[in-house]
Parts: sequence; C-alpha cells; structure tokens
Amino acid sequence: MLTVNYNNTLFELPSTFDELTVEQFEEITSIINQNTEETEKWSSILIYLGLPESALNHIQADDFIDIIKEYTTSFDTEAQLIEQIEVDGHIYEWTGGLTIKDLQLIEAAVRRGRFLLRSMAILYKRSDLSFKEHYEHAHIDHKMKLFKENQIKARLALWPLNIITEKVVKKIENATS
Amino acid sequence: MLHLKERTGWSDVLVEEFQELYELEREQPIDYLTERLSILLDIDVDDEEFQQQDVDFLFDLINKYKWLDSAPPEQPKKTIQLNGLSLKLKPLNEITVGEFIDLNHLLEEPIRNVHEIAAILYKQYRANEWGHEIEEPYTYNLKERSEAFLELPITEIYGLIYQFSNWKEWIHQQYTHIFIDPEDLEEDFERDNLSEAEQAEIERAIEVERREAQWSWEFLLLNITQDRFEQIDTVLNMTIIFFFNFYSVKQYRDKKQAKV
Repeated sequence: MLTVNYNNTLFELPSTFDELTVEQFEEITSIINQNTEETEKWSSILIYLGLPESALNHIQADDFIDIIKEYTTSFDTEAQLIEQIEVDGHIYEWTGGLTIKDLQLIEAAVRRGRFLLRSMAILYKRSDLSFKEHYEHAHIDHKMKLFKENQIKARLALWPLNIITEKVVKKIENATS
Repeated sequence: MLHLKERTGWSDVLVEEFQELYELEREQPIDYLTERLSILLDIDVDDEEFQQQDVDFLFDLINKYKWLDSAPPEQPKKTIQLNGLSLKLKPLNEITVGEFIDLNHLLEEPIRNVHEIAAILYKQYRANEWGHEIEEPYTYNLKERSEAFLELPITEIYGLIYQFSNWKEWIHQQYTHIFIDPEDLEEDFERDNLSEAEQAEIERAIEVERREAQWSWEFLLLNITQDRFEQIDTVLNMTIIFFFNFYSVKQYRDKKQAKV
C-alpha cells in the first residue's frame, strides 16, 4: 500500500497487483490511456484510489511527483497462471488455452474498451456448465459481476493479459499484415 | 472431427463465394478471418466443434490460406463453357452503346456485379450464310445468364474488371472533348486571389462536373436522336466507338453552323 499523509490522516492507496482489484486496474489503465496531461491523469488516479480531492490542492508539486514515482515503481509485474479461482462457492478453471470462441468474444470486448474483467469471465469456466451455457452473454455478465463483487485481484489478470497482448494480438497482426 | 474443404488457390473459389468474401465486414479481424474461412472451407462458424478448437488451429488455417490476401489473376478467359453454351469474350471495341451504358453502371460496384459484367461481355457466336462470325443479339435473359456465371471459378472472369476499367479510362481520355462545351464550365469568379490549394480544389470540382456531364446518357441519346424516341434502339445497337466518333462529327458540325 502506498501511504499518503494528509491533514494528519493516513490514506492507504492500493499500489500492487495483489492489492488492486481487476476493476481498479482497468480504471487506472483507462485513465492512463486518456488524452490528457500527466498531472491531470495522476490526479484522477489518486482520487479514484481514495485520496480526497482537497488533498491535491495542498500537496506540494515535489511531493506530488514523489508520490507518483513511488506509485509507479511499486509494481511487480510477475505473471503466473492461476488455474483455479473460487468465487461465491464455485470453482472457475482455466488451463491457459484459448479457444476460437474465447478469441472471438475477447476481440469484441477489446473493441469495446474495458476488456480485462470480461476476458477473465470468458476464460475462467465452471466445469459443470456446458459449452453453450458458458458462453451465454447473461452468464458472462453475471460472472463479471461476481468477479467484481468478490474483488478479484489484478495479479490474476496478468497472465490472461499477457496471453491476449503477446500471443493473440501479435498473431492477428501477422495474419492481417 | 471437422471436415474441411480443400482449396488450393483462387481457381477453387467460385464467383459467388468471392463476392461473399468481398462483402465481409473487416472491422474485427478475428471475426473477418473466421468468416472468411467459413465461406472457403464450408465451416459453420457457430458450430461448437469449430469454436472449441484452440486458436492455434485457427491461425494455422489463416496462414495456410494467406493467398486469399492476394488478388485473382488479371487476365480473363477468352472462351468459357457455361451450362452447355460456348461463349467468347467480346472484343471491347465492338461493345455497343447499350452494353456500354449497362457496363458503366455495373462498374460502380465491380465485384458485386462481376457476374453481370461477364454476362454482357461473353457472347455466343455463330457463322452466318457467308461464313462470317455473328454475335447473338443483346436480347437474352441477362439475369439468368449472369446467375450461371456465379458458379464459375472467379479466375475465369475476375480480369474483366481490370480490362474493362482500363478500356473505359482510355475511352474517357479519347473522347472527353465531345461531351462537354468547356465554356459551360468556365468559372464566373476571380481566381487570381486564390491560393494554389483553393485553385486545385476548384479544378477538381470542375473535373467532377465535367465527368458527370459527359456520362449523362439520357441527354446524349436524346441529343443525337434529336428527341426521336423510336431511334434510340438503333443508337443503342451502334458500337460505342462509332457512336463517339459520330457524335464528335455532329458536335463539330453543330458548332460550325452556330457560328454561321
């Protein structure tokens, strides 16, 4: 956690992939990708993570830069495939493979913008459900909601993210070049 | 077990399949590439067996059929066998006014219409009593004939698009002057104060106007027949080259008389 002291109150901001939820990670990524000034981006991120807006009016510029520096260096990006996750009494499994259907749905999610949580809902499957049941839109939406409510950590999303960006995106680029 | 059709190149792809491939949305690459394979290999993209395959299977297929990214050959076949008919590619210089008008319109969407373009440009021929080769009249059922072309390999007729487009461009260049009185397009404003870019923009607009005026067929037909509708059929059966030459002469004569 990154601790920021403001007005004698300590604010703890999640700053590692084990502390951030997938939803927070996606929100931060989305803010970073916005076409705005760096200062504005980081102000938005810190507020989103829990720092009061009023704090930003009082933090000195040097301190602000230090906070950002500390924040950005605290990330350890080691990814590991987690084959099973338990959410709400159900086991969801993913062995790391990607089916054509997974790919089609992930591609559609990528186009819509925030794809990580949805991609996880697509990739992690309940073994007691049929192929058709698993890919029902309502089921995937429901699973996203569950993953969000149960605050699935961003660390879990790193492996799928690597697979999508390294394996899939590059292969698509090759196939369409 | 998935049963996939084997295709080795464009000669294994029918005209209607080629058109289907061309019409595919390309916005989402995976959807596009998958749909492309489904048309080519007869795969139902909603089939669970296919959808459950690993993506590597898909990418292997995409790489195997990379030739789909290239265009079919640009040379159309000179003769074609179609449902028992023996057809020959008509020499472009013999295209009639009626055919030219139809082709011109069809060329607006050349791939979607390539079978209709072919149905106009491939004809049956036979010898007359003098032993001269004569062409079937342009009265056959174009829809029926063009539908039969959908079942041919695309390699047989794809080149028509290039051949006819190039020839049409040549015609444009040769006969630009006959359809337009340049004075009609003279600008009624001062150009000296305009920047080079603005002048170029005006030139482009004039060129578009000029082209539109050139290909206003109804106007041309009425003009050349002097509003005698019963003569229009005769004009439609003239070769386009004869028509353009004849019209050039008429235009020249009209201008001369106007001066007198």
